[in-house]
Amino acid sequence: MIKIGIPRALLYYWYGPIWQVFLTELGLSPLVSAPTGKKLLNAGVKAAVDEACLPVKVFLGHTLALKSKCDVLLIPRLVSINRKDYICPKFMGLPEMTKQAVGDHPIMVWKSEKNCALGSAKALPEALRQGFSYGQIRKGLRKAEQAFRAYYHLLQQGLLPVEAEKVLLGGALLSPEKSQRAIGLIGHPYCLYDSFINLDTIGLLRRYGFKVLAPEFFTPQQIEVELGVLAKPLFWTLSQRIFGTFRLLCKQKVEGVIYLSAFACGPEALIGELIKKEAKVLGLPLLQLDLDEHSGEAGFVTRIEAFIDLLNRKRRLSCV
Amino acid sequence: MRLTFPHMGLLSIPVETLINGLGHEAVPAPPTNKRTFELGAKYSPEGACLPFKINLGNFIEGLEQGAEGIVMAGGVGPCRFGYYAQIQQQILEDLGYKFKLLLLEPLGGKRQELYHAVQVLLENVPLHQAVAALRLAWQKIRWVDQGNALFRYDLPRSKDQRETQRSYERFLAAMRQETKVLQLGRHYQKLAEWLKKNRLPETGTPPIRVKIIGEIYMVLEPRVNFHLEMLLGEMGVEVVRSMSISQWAEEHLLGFCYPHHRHRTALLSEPFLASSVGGHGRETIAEMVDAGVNRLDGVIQVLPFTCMPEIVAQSITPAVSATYQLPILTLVIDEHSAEAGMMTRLEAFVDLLRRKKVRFKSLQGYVKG
Repeated sequence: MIKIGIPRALLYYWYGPIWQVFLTELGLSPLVSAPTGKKLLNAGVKAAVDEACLPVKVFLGHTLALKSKCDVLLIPRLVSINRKDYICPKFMGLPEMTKQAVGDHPIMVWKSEKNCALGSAKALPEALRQGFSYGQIRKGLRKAEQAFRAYYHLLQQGLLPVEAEKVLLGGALLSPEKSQRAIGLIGHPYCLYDSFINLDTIGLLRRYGFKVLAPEFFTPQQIEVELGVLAKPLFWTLSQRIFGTFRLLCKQKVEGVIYLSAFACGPEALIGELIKKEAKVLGLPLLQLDLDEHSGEAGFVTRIEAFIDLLNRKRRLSCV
Repeated sequence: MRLTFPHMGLLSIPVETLINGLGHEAVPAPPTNKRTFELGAKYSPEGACLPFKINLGNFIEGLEQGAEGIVMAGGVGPCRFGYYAQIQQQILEDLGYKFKLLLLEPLGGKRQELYHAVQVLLENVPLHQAVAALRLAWQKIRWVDQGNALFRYDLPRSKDQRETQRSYERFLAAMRQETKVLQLGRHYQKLAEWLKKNRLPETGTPPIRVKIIGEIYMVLEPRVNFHLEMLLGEMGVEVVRSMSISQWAEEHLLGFCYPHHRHRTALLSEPFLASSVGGHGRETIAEMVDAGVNRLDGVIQVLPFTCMPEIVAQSITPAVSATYQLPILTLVIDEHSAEAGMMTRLEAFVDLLRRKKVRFKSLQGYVKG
């Protein structure tokens, strides 16, 4: 059976199930890379140019880890997933950047451009389209789309991508976290759910008894409404989600918001400024943390703990 | 209205002409200097790219000079430039400046914003005068860009480099003042004469030719890239660059009249980068391929720190470099870059190119002999 490697990085946290279900349906065996680790990250850092952002370095690390284990690598070229929006220039050149890292290892490109949606047959890699009949592909895509809907439904119920994937593919039963106190966590999905690069922030917050609210728990329609306040529409889909979620979180009466951004991330440099201003206007405690490959656990955890102390203090004072 | 605008190389010449011609008063910010860097870096988000910071510094200095409005261009992504103006407006308003933002959005963006800006710009003069002003500005930048190309060609070939630089300065000053379209060509001819008088007699060995590619702002603004072209010229290197303000305008503003720019970019970059990556990422690869095909001696890529499209291009340059045996130097510039470090790297690179050329020549002689 042909093994197809899917790197567990970047927008895998959104589209991983689509790819896995579709490939399984066609009789291929998808192979997802192991969660990020120290060795993998180091390999990625070495392969990437110095100026690249942390998520791209992580992605390259995953491709290198998969290289020897799979026959073909599946690399997404996500130019745009909504009309008039983009993801980020680095997503557009991802197959080329990967080619530089892995050499002549075979690559398949799954694209999502302005004129073809992610779930359409046009988005598929050329090799798949030629190797399988139209009927097979149609059937596979239909299955994948169903799985994708179910996955999104699970996310919106408050499950994390890792848990939702387990429920979807493994059939395990998990119920969302129930807790009185809520804290918002915003950032790009690949910063929030990669528990190695953010040093398991979600786990830490849960241990402190917080219910964590992330951008993936809201529907695109809810977010669309919140974007109306901007003078000019944002043209980065992920940034739209961050900004919209931040405003939604304010309405949901969370105690505070933690913003995880990646070092050298382009859009976030500008969005951070918008969010800071919004936080000042709305009077919501905000902690912005930059992630990079040198993040040390002690410094990171101290800052989050200090922020939680602050929230506790605020809560005590408001109770009195 | 008193209007200010961001600096980008020679851009101030046509923009000043245009604003004055439309019956407004141009208030150019002082040429980008150390204070601009400091102001920009102080008030900008830390991770923003260098052009954002310098633009912001320019605006602050322009507003200090008494400007009432800012003319700025917009965009539709995915490069961050498209969202510059909104964030800059927010920062300037927080700093307490009162001004009107005239945002020239491209046609694909919000039409209303563009319509409003154009309406304000055209309110002072009748239409025929506005058209004349536009024509003068357009012709001016085309001639200025041509003069600049001539200067780059002549600097490494001149007897007295100071004299060449002085002639060029005189040419720019005359162009800045000129109000008649027909006179523009005369100034250019005068420059050509001065430069010709000062030219060294042709020898068998032409100077080393290096192409400059990268992010347009960093390539075109000498005060930010440490006068890269001047430095190379003084080292006896001919600087080739196809990127210029008039070329940019042809490609992005008048793309329907000049489609060949886009076709050329797509054609040249296809084997290495199949998709557009925003900004000048794809152009960088295309120009590099062009340099390789035309057997130039080397390529220098200039980009601001954290520039997204250029980082994609930078990741791919090793492949292009290997295919065409083309040496490449990548210079990443931010507000902390220093001239000495830049000089060292340039000198080392030029030495390398010289040695490569000599060795190649001797090899050629060996093969022939």
